[in-house]
Amino acid sequence: MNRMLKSLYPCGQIDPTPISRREMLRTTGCGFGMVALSAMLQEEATAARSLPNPLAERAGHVPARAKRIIFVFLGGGPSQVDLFQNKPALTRHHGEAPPPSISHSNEFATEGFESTKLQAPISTFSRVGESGIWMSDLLPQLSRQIDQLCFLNGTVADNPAHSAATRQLFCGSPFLVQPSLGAWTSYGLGTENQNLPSFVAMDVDHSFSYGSYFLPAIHQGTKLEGQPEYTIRHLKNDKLSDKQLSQQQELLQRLNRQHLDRAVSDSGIEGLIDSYELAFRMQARTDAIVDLSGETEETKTLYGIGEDVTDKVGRSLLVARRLSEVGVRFVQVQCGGWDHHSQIKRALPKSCAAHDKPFAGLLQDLRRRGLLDDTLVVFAGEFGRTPFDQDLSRGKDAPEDYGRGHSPLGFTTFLSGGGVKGGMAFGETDDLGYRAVDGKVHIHDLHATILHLLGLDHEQLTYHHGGRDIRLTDVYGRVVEEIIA
Amino acid sequence: MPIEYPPPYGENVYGMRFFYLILASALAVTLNARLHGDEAADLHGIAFFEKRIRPALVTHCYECHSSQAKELKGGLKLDTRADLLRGGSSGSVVVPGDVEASRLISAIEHAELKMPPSGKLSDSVIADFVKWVEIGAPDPRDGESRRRSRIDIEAARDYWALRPLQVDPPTKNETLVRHGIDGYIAAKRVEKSLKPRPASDKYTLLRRVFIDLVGLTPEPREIAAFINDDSPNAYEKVVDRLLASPRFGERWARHWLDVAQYADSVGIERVFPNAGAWRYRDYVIRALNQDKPFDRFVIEQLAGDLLPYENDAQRAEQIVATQFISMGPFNLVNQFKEQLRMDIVDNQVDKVGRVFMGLTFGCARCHDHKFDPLAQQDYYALSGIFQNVQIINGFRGTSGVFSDWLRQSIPEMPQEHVERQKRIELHGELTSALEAEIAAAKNETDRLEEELQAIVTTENRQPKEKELKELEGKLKGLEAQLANHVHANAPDPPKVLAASEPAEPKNARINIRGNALHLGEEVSRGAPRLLNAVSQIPENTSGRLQLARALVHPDNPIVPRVFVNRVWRHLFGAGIVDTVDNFGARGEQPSHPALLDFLAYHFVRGGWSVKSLIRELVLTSTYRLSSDHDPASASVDPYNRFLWRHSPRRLDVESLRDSVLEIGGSLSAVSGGPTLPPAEWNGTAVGQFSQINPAKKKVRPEVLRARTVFLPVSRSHGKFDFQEELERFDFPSPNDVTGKRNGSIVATQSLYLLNAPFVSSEAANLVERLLAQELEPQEMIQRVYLLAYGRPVEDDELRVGLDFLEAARKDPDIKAGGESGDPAVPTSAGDRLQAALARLCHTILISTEFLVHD
Repeated sequence: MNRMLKSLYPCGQIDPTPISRREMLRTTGCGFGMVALSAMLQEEATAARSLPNPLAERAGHVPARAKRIIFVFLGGGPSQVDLFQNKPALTRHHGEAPPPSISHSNEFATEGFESTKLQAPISTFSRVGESGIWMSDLLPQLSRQIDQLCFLNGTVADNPAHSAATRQLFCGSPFLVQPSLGAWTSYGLGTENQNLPSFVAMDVDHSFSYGSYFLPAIHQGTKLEGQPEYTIRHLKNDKLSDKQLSQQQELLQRLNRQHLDRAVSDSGIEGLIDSYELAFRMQARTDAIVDLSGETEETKTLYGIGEDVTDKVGRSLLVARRLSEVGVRFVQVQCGGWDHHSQIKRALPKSCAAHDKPFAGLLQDLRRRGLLDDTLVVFAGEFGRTPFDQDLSRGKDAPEDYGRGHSPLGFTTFLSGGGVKGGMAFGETDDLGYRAVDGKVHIHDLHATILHLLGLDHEQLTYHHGGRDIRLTDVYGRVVEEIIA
Repeated sequence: MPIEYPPPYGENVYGMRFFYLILASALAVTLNARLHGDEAADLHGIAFFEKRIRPALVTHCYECHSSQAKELKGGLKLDTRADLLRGGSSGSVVVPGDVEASRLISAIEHAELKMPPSGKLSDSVIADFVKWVEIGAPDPRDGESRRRSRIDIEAARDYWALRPLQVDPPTKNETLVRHGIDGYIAAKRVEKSLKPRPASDKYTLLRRVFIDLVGLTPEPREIAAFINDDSPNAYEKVVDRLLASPRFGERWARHWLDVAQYADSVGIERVFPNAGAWRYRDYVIRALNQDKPFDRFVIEQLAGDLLPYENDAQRAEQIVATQFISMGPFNLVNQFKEQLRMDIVDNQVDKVGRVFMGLTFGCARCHDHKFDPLAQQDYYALSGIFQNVQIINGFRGTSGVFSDWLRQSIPEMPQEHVERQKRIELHGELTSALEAEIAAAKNETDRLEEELQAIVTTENRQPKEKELKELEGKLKGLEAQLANHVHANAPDPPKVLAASEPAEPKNARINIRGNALHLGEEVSRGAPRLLNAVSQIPENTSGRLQLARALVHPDNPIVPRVFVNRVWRHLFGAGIVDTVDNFGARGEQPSHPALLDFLAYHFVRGGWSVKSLIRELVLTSTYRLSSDHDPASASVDPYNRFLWRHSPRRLDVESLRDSVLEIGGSLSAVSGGPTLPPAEWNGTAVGQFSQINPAKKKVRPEVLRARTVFLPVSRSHGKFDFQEELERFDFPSPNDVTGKRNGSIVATQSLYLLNAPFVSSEAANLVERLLAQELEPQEMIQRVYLLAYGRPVEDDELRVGLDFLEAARKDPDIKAGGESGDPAVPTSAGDRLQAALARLCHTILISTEFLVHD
């Protein structure tokens, strides 16, 4: 508020420092009401600003292979030995007690471990695609995309508990509170589309998985929830009519402008005004992006939308593609249902059926739109499952109904597009599919590689906090050059 | 205060050089000699070492494994006996006399690791090493390698933050501290050729000081009183009234809770209620309201349980205060319990370092601090003190995964005792009810089982079996509920997660590279060497009390420097050292070093009175400057580090929320006490924090309308919705020390203000109140401007408001009350006006002028 200046210079023509967007609007003489606002809604926020924009797009440290990422979280821990790693030895030794290499050094004894037996894969495997990679017959659609996919069969994590392992997958450390991968990405690269958040997290459970912690809050993931009618929290006020809303918006802009006039020029006030403007743009845009009615039937079918088993996952992945397409840097999608402690024979095929077509559909759709080249798609659970069985019923269930425990020592994650080689299986576990023995990719390495593909050097992407420069990969991480095309 | 300048100026005020001489020798951390000296090393062995082993080490190993290594590999140094025996990051490499266990041997044999990587050594050299280990690895190389002594404590004490306070003569012949402050600021401004803005107008100043001191916007009658008071000390009277208000403690306690990692829950993955946490929160509020001297406040929080006491109330309070050490992000699910224990201690060491000394001790957990004079030994000297505080204690429940924690009993106050009798009764009733339900369910299962025995055909059995299975499930659930109810919600006498002293305090051992399973030397407990006045720690105490006393000893200027700087930042928007939690070499340099010393000096001299410090700061002319922009000054000093104006900020979330509640007339009178519900309020046992989420209607409604400082805080899961909203506005994570919150401005904040029911419903409440007073729209707008902006409305603004109402009133499609109205139903003119007024108020309450604290 600046009473004095106003009385000195009632004309309001006071020398501005540096010419800001606000100054421009004010000195052009036109009202700031809906005319200016709607003009702003149309421009893609490219006008000069007096404040550095923390979400402005910026170059990374190394040439980027991917401009954006869709991170699909397979929550629960999909079984690598039933889906991606063909282990004939496991079939041969079915029903036997695990060998000493497992039983004597079982770092993570699980419930029912004393009486556990090796369990043959519940599915058959075939060699698929030009690359002839082994794939479970439970994922026929995804198998057709094999030449776009790169499997990391020696993925390793540090912890066998869901929450700790999930925390590690998203934040690097299983136990410490740290910013999430998406927040780091936004912090490192900003975003292309200034009308939408840089980082959108869909259907997420764990707040840490999209949190920014000590990074500026603007890099926090914006939650998109409420499938099938996706929305952002507090996006709309349906208690007011459109006319009332526009009257209120106009009044707000007017009050804000008066305030700015009094204060002459202040970056803090401009920042607040900017954030209202972005909010209005989000209100105006979000519905259109999450609305699938404009998609063709053929596309919807591709994702399995309209079919009972695939509808849910298909919708979320199609929305993810739409977000990615309009320039949201980091889209995170949660697809749960992979925690098969019991009845894996019945339940795993169901999980596969729900995800197989949508996963394949997403990849096909991205490819035909020319987006797969610079969109990195990552599919990862927090860990895999044990090659030996687990009986949580304490002897009540028949072995037919057993499942598998959690296993972080060697599991499969897979990537597609964005500079990653297709038709590749990198790394492997031992003959029983328990422990990674070759081509180990620790979660830190996975993070380093993802950041690298996006153009960021994981050692240079640091933030000074608590007296030191902190990074996502702590003091670890290796870029897995072998998988980069 | 007011305080007169003490003569003589310009001197080393505490004559601290003298202390250096005495303490320098006494304080060196003594390393335990247990690992030194290998009796097998006779002269013959030494000769063998010198002839065969040392040359081989120098030639083949030192390049990567010595103090001279460009980059030390595997954390392993081989250039002293101590280093060699200590081993590297993956454990010991030489076990004297045991060739099998000596990994150095297997490495040079290229069995496991292949060392040296450039190629296997000759067989004769390998044989020498084998022999050398067999005869006990004799090694004359005493002492520590040079890298260890890199930190020069004497030199380090000359670092600006550790130096004795220097107080210069004042620029003018003034006697008040506030004038001294203004003098320093003015001198810097002159140096930078900056012209100060004029003083703020009275309206702005009043709103500013209200928000700063009590976290609420001023009410209209307070505005009127101040504006109409023409006496020269009108402002001073307001300041004194605010400092005496209980709202002051509620406001400033939150600043302390930000650094104290306050939460009402324990754990990161599964989050359990910390039933006694509120006592610490209330303790901090009380301490501030009673103006407890800051030195006392520090000692109580670190060692209150060890202090003498005069009565039960004091004893209880002092134990409660030590929750400062027991609050932090402890991941109870970590199955490596020793690592968990060390993570807890690490948090304590780091927290004490950052909160009180502005130094990042955490870095020295794994290695000597790279920038500050903190050796790994200093870390473990301090760690030793806190390792004697027991936090985790056995397991929670029967899972054997989640650690439980130790609770300390505190004396029960008479009123609390009376309250608890009522709770015991309720708890008993609920227990009986649950027991009865369980008994009934058991009877039912017995009956079913009997019936089943009589039935032979599978077909007939199936429905009964299904019924039985369901019943068994229900029974299991009830039993768990009962167990939880009895255990977690027992109306026990008060207990808190606080500090205690063990019978036999122990020293810590260095965790090599921070690994709790890989232990190095033992280090005597002690305060960091860079502190000056430290008394020896008696063997039978942990040393917490000695540490606390050392911190606030007048010879340790870093503690008052750090604290006055925190207070400064809250009032002026930026710290004199803007990295308020980091005074180390990686932190910022002070913008006004002399002023910082001046403030610290008077703070200590004035008896560590926080209220007096704040009083002097807000009475300065500097504080009262207008926040008006000035292009010329902004071009020289865009971030206003030299205070040519008052720095405007976004309203912090507490002031925003509390003021909106107050303006809406909804602020509840809760002013302390437990805010987590005991089970009796809702009939459900509370095992996990998430179960008390307000969505499940398990929090008293008045708590939800209490000042923000009283809202329960969760460390991770099960956050109350409002905590997520608060975090949107930079409410800090309770897992971190946050002396300086982010001031982020993001679109989701705007969406919240526009569309969440919080502000709009308070606006509606306000309008209802105003209508009840039968005010005309014009008068209402005048009142709302006073309430929201703290100033009268101007004519053009009034016009804008009235035009808005007029337009809205004409709007036929208006929905009455903004809520449930059906647009098809015609609404009365009165309803339409009320709804439009509510929207007007809502808009004013989310406009930039309300949101800016200038």
